[in-house]
Amino acid sequence: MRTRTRELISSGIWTALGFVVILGARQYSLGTLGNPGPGFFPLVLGCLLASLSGIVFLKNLKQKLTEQDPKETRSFFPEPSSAKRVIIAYVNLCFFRLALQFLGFLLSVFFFSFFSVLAIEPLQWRKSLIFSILSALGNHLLFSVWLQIEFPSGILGL
Amino acid sequence: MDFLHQASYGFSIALQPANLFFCFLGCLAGTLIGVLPGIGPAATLSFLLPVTLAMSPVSAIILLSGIYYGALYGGSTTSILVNMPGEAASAVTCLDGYQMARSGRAGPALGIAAFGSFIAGTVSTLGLTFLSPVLADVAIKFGAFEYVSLMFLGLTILAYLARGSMIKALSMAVVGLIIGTVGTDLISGIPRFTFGIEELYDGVGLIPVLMGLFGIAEVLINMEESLKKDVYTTRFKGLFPDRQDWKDAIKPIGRGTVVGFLLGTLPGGGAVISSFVSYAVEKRVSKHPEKFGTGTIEVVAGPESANNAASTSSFIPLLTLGIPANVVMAMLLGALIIHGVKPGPLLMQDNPDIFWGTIYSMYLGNVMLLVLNLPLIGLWVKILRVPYLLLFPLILIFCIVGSYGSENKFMDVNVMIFFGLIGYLIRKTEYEAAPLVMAMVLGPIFEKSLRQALMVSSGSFVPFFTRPISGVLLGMGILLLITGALPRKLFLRKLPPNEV
Repeated sequence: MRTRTRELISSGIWTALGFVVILGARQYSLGTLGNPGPGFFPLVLGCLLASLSGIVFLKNLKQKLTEQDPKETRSFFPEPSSAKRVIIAYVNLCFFRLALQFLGFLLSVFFFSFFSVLAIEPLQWRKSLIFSILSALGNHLLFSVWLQIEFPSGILGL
Repeated sequence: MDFLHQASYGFSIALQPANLFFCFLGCLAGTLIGVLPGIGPAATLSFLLPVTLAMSPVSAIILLSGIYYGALYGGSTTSILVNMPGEAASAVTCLDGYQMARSGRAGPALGIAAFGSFIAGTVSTLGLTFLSPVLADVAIKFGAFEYVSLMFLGLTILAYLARGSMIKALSMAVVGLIIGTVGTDLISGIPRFTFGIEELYDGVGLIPVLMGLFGIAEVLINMEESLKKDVYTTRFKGLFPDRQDWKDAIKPIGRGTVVGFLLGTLPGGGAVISSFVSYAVEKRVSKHPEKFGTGTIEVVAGPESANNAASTSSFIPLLTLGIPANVVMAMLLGALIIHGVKPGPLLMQDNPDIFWGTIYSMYLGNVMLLVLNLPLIGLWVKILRVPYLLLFPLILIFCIVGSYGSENKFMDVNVMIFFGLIGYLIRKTEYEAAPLVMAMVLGPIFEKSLRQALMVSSGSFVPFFTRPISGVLLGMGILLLITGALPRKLFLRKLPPNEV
């Protein structure tokens, strides 16, 4: 994707958010200048965001394409395998959040550590296993035992 | 309180065994993350926050502050030995520090960075000690008009000093202000933008947003690079700079301290910019600027002193006005609020233990850091070999625990994960997260002051300009906006882009 396309998409999203905030702010009372209501500040902010991002959007729209400009063709990820690693790390994090609610802290940390290492360096089963056992025990001792943070107990009561 | 009374009180708090221990722990942890590239103080503070929940507020702030200024000591080690900035603020140190190391002078480079940091850190703490009470006295008289103008100036300075485009930085600040409006309106009591979600009535939590934007997003950015990095280390012997080194370095250390101290107090100023400005200043005053980049000790000493002076002076606006100067200070603000302490002009009166305890712990911390850094450098170099593959799951676990543990709410974890993605995407599209966070912190105070001021003036904007302090602050802000919109010919905006 070209840098310009990315700029257009991102500034477009911020502009749209500005308009959403303007619409949202109109649901609350605006008040008067001498006695501003709850909708006053958000309305001003919505207008500011829409116009600032609108300027960025229009600037990029007007910009002429110059093929030689290295900025124009720079890819989104620095390496071909970057996307895979970033997505794995993020999805794994989301699963960790879900697991924490249902499996309890100890097991969630174990699985999260295990899959984090394994997903990035496949076939390193032993390394992942040792690391995840140590990580689960260490984090359990630090947070549940020493700092006494109360996590949901999970299905196994751990 | 006179000075002696103040000092003995401050030291009596800072020297309590628990506080002394946490100060040491903070400096140690700070040096560690300073040495490790890819983990900054903001991310570290965010995931170490849960550890502080069980402590007294004084110990917690002493620990977290130690991590911050400790990180800036450690950052130079990696820059000099591995040519990779341990912290963004040490990026310029790579230029000449690594060249010194290559010509066999790694020892003096490391030594002068540590001594320079010590001198700058201590002088800056002295400034903090004497200026804060004065400023707090002035700030206590601030009314709604002054606060509005001050925050307006703060946000424009923040956008002006932004690395990328000013307009993008401004729009991020507006997004932050918008996020700040989520929750119950302070004046009318009406819930806004809560979408019927009860947990949002208190607003979006600052800590989960910070952890997402800085902790999670930083991990995701680091995941882009292959995780195996070759670490090459230089051999070195003798850490003490000789007489000639001192002669060359002492003036840059002095100038760096002044530059860092001044820039550190500005919103968005802080350690990174002051190290670049110190480099620029040295280049301007030097008699042989053509030698820069070949291993001149001046530009190791200056920037390293500047970033430490800045890290200390950035406490001034937080402790006296309740306004954070940078993201790390926003994090400390969040920590104070979790502990039920409200920073601001009244902090010195209401919580003298926190105010003076923190400041005086910095004198001790700087001594500890000097001791930690010089003899233990061999150990830090070994730590550089810990693979990121094992580090990143731990960082993410700490972030999850930190966001959940502060209030035992899954909503906070969801917010953090959401803002992790947002933080990653805005960095990839060349926006900055810092103005967003700062504006989010300031938002509610800004809105409340603005509405109060307008009620007092019955809708007129004239008093913002005619009240002396407010008028000056507002005028400076408008001037900055205008100069920022002009073509980039100004000195500050021509600084080397920070790619870290």
